[in-house]
Amino acid sequence: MSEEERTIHVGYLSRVEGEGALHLAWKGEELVDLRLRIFEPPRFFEGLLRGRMATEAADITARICGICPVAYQTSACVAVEDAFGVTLPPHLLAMRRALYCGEWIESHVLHMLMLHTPDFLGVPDAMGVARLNRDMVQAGLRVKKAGNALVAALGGREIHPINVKVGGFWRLPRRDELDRVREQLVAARPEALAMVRWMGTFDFPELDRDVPLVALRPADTYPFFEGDLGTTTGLTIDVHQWSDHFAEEHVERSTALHCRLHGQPYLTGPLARFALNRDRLPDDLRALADELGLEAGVVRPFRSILVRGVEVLYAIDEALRLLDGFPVHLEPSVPVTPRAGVGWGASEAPRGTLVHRYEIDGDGRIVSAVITPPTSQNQLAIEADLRELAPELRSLDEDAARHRAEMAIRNHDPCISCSTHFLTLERVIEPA
Amino acid sequence: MRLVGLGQPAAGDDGVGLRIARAVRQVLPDLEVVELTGAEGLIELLDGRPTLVVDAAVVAVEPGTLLELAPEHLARVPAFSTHGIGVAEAIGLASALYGTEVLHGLTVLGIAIRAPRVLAEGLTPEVAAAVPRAVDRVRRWVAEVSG
Repeated sequence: MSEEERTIHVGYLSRVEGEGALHLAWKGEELVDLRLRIFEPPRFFEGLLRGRMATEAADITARICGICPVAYQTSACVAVEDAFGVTLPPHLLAMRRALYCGEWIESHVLHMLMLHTPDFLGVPDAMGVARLNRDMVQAGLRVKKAGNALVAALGGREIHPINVKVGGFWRLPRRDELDRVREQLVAARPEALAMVRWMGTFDFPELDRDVPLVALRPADTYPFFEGDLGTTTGLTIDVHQWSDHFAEEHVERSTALHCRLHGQPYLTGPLARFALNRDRLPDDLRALADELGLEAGVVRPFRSILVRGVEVLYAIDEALRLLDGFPVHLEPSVPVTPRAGVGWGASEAPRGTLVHRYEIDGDGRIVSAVITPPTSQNQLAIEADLRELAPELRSLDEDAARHRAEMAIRNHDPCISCSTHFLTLERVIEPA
Repeated sequence: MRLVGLGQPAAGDDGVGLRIARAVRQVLPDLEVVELTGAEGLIELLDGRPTLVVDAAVVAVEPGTLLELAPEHLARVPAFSTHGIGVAEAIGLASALYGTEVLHGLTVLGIAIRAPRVLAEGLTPEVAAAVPRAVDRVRRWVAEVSG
């Protein structure tokens, strides 16, 4: 085989949830094939949900992801409450939002510090980061622990919370539980700030993307599960009209579905949330974003680690605000009466918008379920990033090409699924 | 001393560590038993006390085979766990952050499984059959450490 006809297998992509493979092929200088193959369990949960009580959806779908169960629970609850015509009072909306803050802190810090920082420091893993900057890793772990503590206090336990239900929660936290979490969050705040400022000193590969962005955009706050969907193409979309704008398609190479906005790839996640809701951030975090070089109107995927950092700080501040004086004496839930109907729920999982739709019969049983996770929405945009990088991926040596491709995929923290592990990169270069 | 059961209950055989932890709790009620659904929890847990970690291991041997591993052998088993950071990485991080002494007395008992492909609760028969053997191994470990 000549040098121009190399097929290169460069091992698996570690530090990404799930399993997949990236295939790149060139004829001469021209990229002729780019396929990110994802082996996602085919909609197992959607089938599993049929015939189950709609009130069970939150706990069943929480099992889809060990890293973002709160997102699944929240989107499920919002969708079922939508179908049943249930409205939550402010204190339960606040608790739901604070729980979600905990998940952002947990998930973002894990990704930033353990999975993404090694790329920027040129070390193979988090152990390498610890050897270079032990104090920062210890501080980061304390920040993450504060997020874990918040999820445990409000959700009942750190992973797969058990306290969430349609209509609110099984119980509200005690004041002493909230006080302990508050102490941890207050202590974590300066450490999180130091961490993101440190990450701001990394060298970021240049990549500016022109891709439509989609995220919830509430009227007056940064989004977790509130508001309509906004797009950088100027649309405002009520989630009930999701199907009028978004379409999922099966792609032969992948068991995942690929979602398009009016036929076009688009991106959800921190970059989209930040771009569409920058004006919803408090002044100090907008100033921090400026300090970190996160320019408005510019999509730079390699800087997503910094956007996550801003969101970690927002989540800490927001949780502290929500829990300050939280009325622990009020009712933990509102009554729920099943009725036939269709309900939609969207929330902002750490890695992007997560949409649930349930059709429910008069007994409160699920007739059909559709779950659109962030990764199926982002996959085409991730491929588009890789296409932009293709000339570089062709010219670099094997190790450097693998490193750059891994880094580009990790920019979007894809949670390919929780059942499997790795991604294989294949590079094929044929003569023109 | 302490037993740590690690696993993902919704990923079939990947939940065997948790199943073993629960079985051990029944027969050794005085032993401290911790259940973790992510290896990251080990980082702060390891403190030099005798600790036995029980987890599924995706390795090319017969499913259900018990594999006893010293911490220094873990790097050779990269596909050891599921989410974010694995057992080997968590142990390595604990060591890098807090010193190698936190690994004193640490033993890892792996239960060979095939890579889980389906999201479902429950163990395959060959991995379920390993649970009582693993519980016996835990009993012997307790006796060795106590003795």
